[in-house]
Amino acid sequence: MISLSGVTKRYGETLAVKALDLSIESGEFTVLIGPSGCGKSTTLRMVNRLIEATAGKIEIDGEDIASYRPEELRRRIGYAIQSVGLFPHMTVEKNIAVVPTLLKWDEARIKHRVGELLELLSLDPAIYSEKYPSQLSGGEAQRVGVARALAADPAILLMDEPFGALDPITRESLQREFLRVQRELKKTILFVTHDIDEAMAMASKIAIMRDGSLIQYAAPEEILESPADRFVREFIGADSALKRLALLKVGPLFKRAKSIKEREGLVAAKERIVEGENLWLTDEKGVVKGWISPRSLTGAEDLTEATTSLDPRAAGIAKDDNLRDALSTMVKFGFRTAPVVDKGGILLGELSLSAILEA
Amino acid sequence: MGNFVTFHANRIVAGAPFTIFESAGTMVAAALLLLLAAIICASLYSGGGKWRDYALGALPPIATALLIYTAGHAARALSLDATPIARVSLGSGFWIPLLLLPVIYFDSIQNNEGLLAPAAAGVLSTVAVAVFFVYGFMDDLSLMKEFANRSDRFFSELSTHLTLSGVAVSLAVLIGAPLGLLAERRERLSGPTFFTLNVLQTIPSLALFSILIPLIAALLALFPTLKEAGVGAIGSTPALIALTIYSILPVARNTYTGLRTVDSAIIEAARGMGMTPLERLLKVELPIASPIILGGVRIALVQAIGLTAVAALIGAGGMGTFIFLGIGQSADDLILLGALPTVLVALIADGAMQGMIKIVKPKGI
Amino acid sequence: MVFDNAAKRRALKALLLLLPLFALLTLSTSLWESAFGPLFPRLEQLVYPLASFPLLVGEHLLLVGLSSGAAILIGITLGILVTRPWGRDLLPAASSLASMGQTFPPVAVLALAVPVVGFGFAPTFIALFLYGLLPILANTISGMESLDDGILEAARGMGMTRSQCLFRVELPLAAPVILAGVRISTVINTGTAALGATIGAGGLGKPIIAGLIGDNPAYILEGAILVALLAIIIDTILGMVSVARVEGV
Repeated sequence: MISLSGVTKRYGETLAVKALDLSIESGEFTVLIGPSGCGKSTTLRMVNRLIEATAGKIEIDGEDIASYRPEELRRRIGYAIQSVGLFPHMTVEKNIAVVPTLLKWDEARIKHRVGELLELLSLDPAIYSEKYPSQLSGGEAQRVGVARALAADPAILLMDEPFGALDPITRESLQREFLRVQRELKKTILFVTHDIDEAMAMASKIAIMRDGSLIQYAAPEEILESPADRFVREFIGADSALKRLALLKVGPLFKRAKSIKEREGLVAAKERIVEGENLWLTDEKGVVKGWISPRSLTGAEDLTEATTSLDPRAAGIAKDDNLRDALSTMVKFGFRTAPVVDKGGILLGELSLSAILEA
Repeated sequence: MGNFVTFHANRIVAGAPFTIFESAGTMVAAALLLLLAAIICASLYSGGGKWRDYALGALPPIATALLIYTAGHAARALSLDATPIARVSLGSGFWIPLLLLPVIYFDSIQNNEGLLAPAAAGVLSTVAVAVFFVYGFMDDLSLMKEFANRSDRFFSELSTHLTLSGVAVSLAVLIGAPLGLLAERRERLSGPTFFTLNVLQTIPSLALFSILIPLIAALLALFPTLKEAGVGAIGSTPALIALTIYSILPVARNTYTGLRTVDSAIIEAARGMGMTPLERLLKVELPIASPIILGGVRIALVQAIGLTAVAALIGAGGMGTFIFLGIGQSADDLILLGALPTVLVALIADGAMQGMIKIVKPKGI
Repeated sequence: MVFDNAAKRRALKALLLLLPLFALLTLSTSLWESAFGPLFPRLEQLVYPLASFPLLVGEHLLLVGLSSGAAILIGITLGILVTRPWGRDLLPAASSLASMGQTFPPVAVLALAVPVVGFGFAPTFIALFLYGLLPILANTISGMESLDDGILEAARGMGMTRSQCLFRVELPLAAPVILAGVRISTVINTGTAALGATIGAGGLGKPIIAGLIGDNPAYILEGAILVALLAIIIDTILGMVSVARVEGV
């Protein structure tokens, strides 16, 4: 657990951080966010004493960080930054081994740890161990940077816009990957970014700062639902409703759907259909083939003529999709109601537009 | 190759020029000219890939050795029928290729990957040239006659020269590197430090060397104990002081720039991971800056070797002794006896430092 | 880089101090006499008698001016020629000649000129010219080579001819680097010209050599102080010129 109480940083006349109180539970992924100059990086760097606080107290697991030597403290805390800062004269392996070496681990243990970390971050040790930083792409370098921060298995990880310099595609894949790593390792993470989408995607708690003060500190859903003030509302953007949808899953909202198999025929369809609802056509295994509306059924000679066919892999929605993606699919295909399917395209139920709007 | 060597009936009179064919004989001359033609063709022809690299890396040292052998051979041929006081000096037909061949050689070393063939040819040719000199092939050249008259003195002055420049640069590293480090850590100091060093560097060598003479004399008058400790107003003391002063700037400046070039993200990462300032300096900053710092030592060393030649004017000895003695006596070969080894030592020191930088330079940079 | 007004002001201030001091020391012999009288009571002759200081300064400036002027003209021209498309074949040779030539000690170049040309003004001029050529050539080449290809392409794309491109874009952009070479070259020449006195070229080295031979510290100091001041003044002026040229680049 990290707790900041009354933490202040003063540069001459200006206060970069004003009497900040913040408490971060162990295993929590906390994102510090705000416009540039709001004091988020300063706050982060006061935790490992790269910047010394002017006033206030920072404790880690109940111990005042001022009671440690700064170097000793930093060796216990992982640190990753936007510009990575890999040492160009050291191989990937040596770079990752820096802190363990400073901590005087024995060689075999370091070697084993480096291999473990490279694999954790999906870098093949056989290929990457002996490479130099100049031979890595931006994404690879940042993976190594994260591996280096994790090297001595610190309980706490400080990250200052670690994915900020990457292109959108690489950034997103690294974000996903890092979330996977975090689910496995359960570190206490303090993560600085100015990208609200990144914050919403990664955080378990978000701390919004402005002019050195904490404005709101809450879970992402809560911030979207009830922003503390106009500043927060503006900061999370006009599309906050969409952002909130991105945090909700399809799972709890979809309901059972009516379906009919091809061989059951037109008559059965007419009996089963209810005014104002659709009927899903499936094959013998239950894979969705198309949909039938009450209107298309009147005057149709057989089931095929009454069916608008669809491809469940493109138009189907998965149970763990978020509502934002589901809505996007529905708009794209013009559905008021969309089929919810499993990986094989088998019909599980349906999701209606009104269910999304009520969520 | 019009004027390959010049024949003088004695040390004073004007001489008669001889072409390479007239002096060295058709066979030797033709072999040398063919080799030179091949090198020139290879250097002007931009295709050829690997074979061109081999030719430009390996042939110039071989041609240099052959050129030197040819000169010795020519001098011997001309001296056969002459009196012992006759002199054979070298002409432009010898000097121009001798100057151009190393340019081609070093150019090819710097631009090509493979170092084995050029290095082997260089070592082999150096050994061959050494053999020519040691076993007397070259003894009939006037330069070698001057050398023969003064061989003991030559080696003692050479060792004085090397000691003076070596000690001065070592002192400059001991003073300049910490100074550069200090200037980098305390930016406020960098302005005044480099202003002072720049002004000192601007002072002409003859002026600085000679200004020190009355200064040290005054110091000795004030503190007679210094005199008892072996400090003199002329000779090696002022020379060493001046040479050290000149050598500090390149070392300090490159230490400063070298440390400056280390990316701030790297420094931040090093601090963030918990390196102490000393660990950061030794494990991160110095290794990354080392090629640039050594580059400063290289500049200082080459410069000091040249300036030491001037120090002979204030009685410090070294190869300048022969240069200024030769100038005083209008004896061209004596001038060459001082100037050529100075140039050679400077070139060797430069090459050695470049090689060392290549070896020391950490991989990945 | 930002136009460095502060550096220019500092240099101007230094010149306002150095130039009058240099003029005073050149023109007034009584100043030297009154300073050296008490310092060297045993010396009979306190001021170098064989030539007046204005004459020596003039000789020195002539030597440096001519040789550096020629070196600047030829050096920059050569540098431009080998960086043109049709001169590129000679570029590697020119740049390694320039960098290796600078390894040659200036005093050795001066000494080697004697067997070829003899004594006096001519060999000193030739040695200073050849030696001064190298830093200028080297810097012209590196200045031209370091230009961003995009800028040249833009210039050509806007319809500039090759010569317009050279005079309006390439040379102005490369000017700071070239001028740095000119500064190094001229300052080295000022110092090496003093050594020219040993081969009879005249200049401010003469009193120093005379003082060294005749064991007269007054002569030594006169020559040394004047030539040191001259070198510092030349360095400051050329430094100011290159700072001024950096504007906007």
